[in-house]
Amino acid sequence: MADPVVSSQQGAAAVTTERSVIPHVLRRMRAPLLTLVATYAIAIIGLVAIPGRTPLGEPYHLSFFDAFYFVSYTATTIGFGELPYGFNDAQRLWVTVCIYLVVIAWFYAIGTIVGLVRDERFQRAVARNAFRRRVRRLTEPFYLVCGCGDTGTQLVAELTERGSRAVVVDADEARTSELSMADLRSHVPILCADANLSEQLLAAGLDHPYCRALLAVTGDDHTNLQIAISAKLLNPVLTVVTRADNHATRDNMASFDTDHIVNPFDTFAGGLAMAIQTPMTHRLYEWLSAKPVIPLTSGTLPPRGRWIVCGYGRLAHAIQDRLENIGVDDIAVVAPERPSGIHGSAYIEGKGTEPATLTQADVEHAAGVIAANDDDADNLSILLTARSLNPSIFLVGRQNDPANGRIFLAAHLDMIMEPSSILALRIIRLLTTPLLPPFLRRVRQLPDATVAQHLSEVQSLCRVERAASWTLQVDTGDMPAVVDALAEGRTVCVSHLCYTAADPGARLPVSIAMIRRGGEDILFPDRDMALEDGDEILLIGPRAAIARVRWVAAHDNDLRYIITGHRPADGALLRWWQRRRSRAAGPD
Amino acid sequence: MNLEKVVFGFFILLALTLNFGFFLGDITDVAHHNVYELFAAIVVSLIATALKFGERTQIGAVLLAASLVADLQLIAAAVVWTLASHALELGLTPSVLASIVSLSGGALLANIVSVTILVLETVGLHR
Repeated sequence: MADPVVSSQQGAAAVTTERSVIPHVLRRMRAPLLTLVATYAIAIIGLVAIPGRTPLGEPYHLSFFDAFYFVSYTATTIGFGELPYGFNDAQRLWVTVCIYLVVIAWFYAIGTIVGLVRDERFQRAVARNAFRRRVRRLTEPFYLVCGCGDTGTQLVAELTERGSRAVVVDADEARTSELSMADLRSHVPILCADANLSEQLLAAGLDHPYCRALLAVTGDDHTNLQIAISAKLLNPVLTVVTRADNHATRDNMASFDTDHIVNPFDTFAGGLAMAIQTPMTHRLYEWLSAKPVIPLTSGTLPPRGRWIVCGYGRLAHAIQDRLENIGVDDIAVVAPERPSGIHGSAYIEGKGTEPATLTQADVEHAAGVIAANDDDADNLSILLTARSLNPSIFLVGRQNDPANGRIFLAAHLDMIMEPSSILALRIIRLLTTPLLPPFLRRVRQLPDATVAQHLSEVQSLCRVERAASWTLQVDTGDMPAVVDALAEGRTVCVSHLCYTAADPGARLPVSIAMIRRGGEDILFPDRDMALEDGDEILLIGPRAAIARVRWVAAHDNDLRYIITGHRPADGALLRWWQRRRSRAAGPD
Repeated sequence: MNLEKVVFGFFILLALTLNFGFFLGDITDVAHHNVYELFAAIVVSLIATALKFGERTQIGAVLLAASLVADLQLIAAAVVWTLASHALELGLTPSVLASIVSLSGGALLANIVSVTILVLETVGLHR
C-alpha cells in the first residue's frame, strides 16, 4: 500500500510550516462571494420594488422571502417558474436582467472553487498538510528515510517487510512517485521535498517521539552531511545513520557523533579482504544472514596472489588500501590516466576492456580481476575479456545500476559489488540486530581455525542453509518471564532458553552466540552461565526456532516448567491454593 | 490614502449604521422597523464579512468572528420575520417584532465591537 506523493516547492514557500489552506481558500473566494452577494441584493431589491398584480387584478409586491426564493432557483438555473403569481412585463424585463446577472455571478463562484481545487499549488498544500497530519498521528516506532534512490527504496522495502514503519523524504518527484507506486506491506508517508531543509525533516517526524532513527541515504554526500547535522542539533538523542562516499565527509560526520556512518566502498573492500584473509570468518558472515551484505555468487573464495584493479576511483582506492593491509600487495592498476601515488609497473595505461591491456597487466598469472568502473557495460566487458584470457581467474564486478542485476548474474561472476544494496543491507543489519556487528568484530579477532570450529558446531546444531539472528534483551519488553523469574530469585541459565515446554527433551536448534553485559561482550557463553537483568543476548538459528525462544522468554508457565520441571498453577486463586498445600505439606 | 482601506472601513461602518437604524425605535412598533432596512443591513453585513476573509492577523480573525456573529443574528431576525409572516401566518405581532428587533440588537453589539477594533487598530497604526 503506498501513499500519494506529497510535493513541496523548494525555497521560501516550503519553509513556512503548518500553514492552513483555509485562509488561502477564503481569500480566493472573496471576490466571487462579494459578486454573489451584490448581484443577489440587486436582483432581490428590484423584484420586491416592482409592483405586480394577482390573478384577481389586485396590486401586490413580492415579499423579500418570495424574491430570495425566486432568485435562488433562478441563479442556480433550476427555474421553477414565476412564483407566487405570473409576472407582468415590467417584472419580466427585470427578471431578464437578473438572470444574466446572477447566473453569471454563480458560475463565476463555482468556477473559482473548481479552479482552486484543481490548482497544483493548492493540491500540494493540501497533500503536504495531510502528510504532516499522518506523520504526527503515527503511534508506532518508525524510521525516517531521507532519499529514496536505489538504496532508500531497498531500505524501505526491507523495513516494511520486517513489520517496521517508514517515512520517506526525497526531493526528486520521479523517484517519490515511483516509490508511492511500490507494493509495500505498510502505509509509507512520502514527502517530495528538499531534505536539506530542516523544516521538512521536522514535518517528516524528526522530533516525533516514535522516530527510532534517521537514515540519510541520498546520493549526495553534502546533503547527507546537512541532514545529519540538522538531526543531531534538533534531536540529539536520535540515532542517525548516514551514507558517506568520501572519507572527508565521513570524518566530518564522525566529528559530531553521527551514530553509524556507512561507506559502501569501505564495506565491500573490508569484506573482500576478509574473504581473502580469513575465509571461514567470511563463511560465518554469509551464513548468518538471509541476505548477506557481500555475497559470494560462486562457490569459490577469493585467492591470494596478483590482483588487477580496472578503473581507479573510490572503490579501487579502498580495495587497494585493504588488500595492502592484509599483505596482498601485488596489485596492478589499469586506468586511462596514472593516479597519483601509483608508481612504476603497478600502473598500466588503458581501460581494460581490450585484451592487449589485460595481457600487459599479466592477466594470465593473476589471481583475480576487479572491474571497479562506474560504467556497467565497461565492467562486464573487462570481466568477460579477462575470463577469456584466463578461465580460472576470480572475477569481481561493480554493478552500478540495480536494473542490470540479471545481466551480472548471467555473467557468472564470483563476486558482485552493488553499492546500493550493500548500503541498504548493512543499515538494516545495524538497525535490526545491533549485537551482530560487535559479534562479528569479536569473531574477526579469533584465529580462522577457531572460527571454523565454531561455525561447524553452530551449523551442525542449526542444520539450515542460512541462519537468522536476533537480539533479545533481559527486560520486561523482550523477556518478561525471565525478568519475573530473576525477581523471584531463581537462576535462569543460558541453556534454559534452548528448550521448549512442549518437548523438553529436545534442544532447540539455536545458538546463543554472544551476551553483552555492562559493556562487556561474552562470546559463545557457557551453557550454565546465569542470565542477569539487562543482559543483551544474540541468538543465531532458524527463524522458527528463534520465535520459540522468544515465546518461552515471554511466558511464565513454560519457562518455570523448563527450569523446575513442575507445571505452576495458572491464575491467582490456584497459585494461592498451591502455596497453601505446599505449606501444609511442610518443608521438604 | 488607501482605497482598499476606505472600502473596508466604509462597509464596516455602514453595517453598523444600518443595523442601528433598524434597531432604533419602539421595540413593538412595526412603523419603527423597516424591512428594507433589515435587508440592507444583511447585505452590507455579508459584504463586510466577505471583505474580512483571508486575513492572517489576530485582529483580522477577531473582526471576521464579530462579523460572522452579526450575520448570524441578522439572518436569524430575517428568518423569524419570514416564518411569522409567511409560514406560520402569525403576522407581525408585538412579541414577534420584539424578538426580531432584539436579535438585530445583538448584531448591533457585534458591529460595535467590529468598529471599535477597527478604530483601535487605526489609532495604533499612527502611534
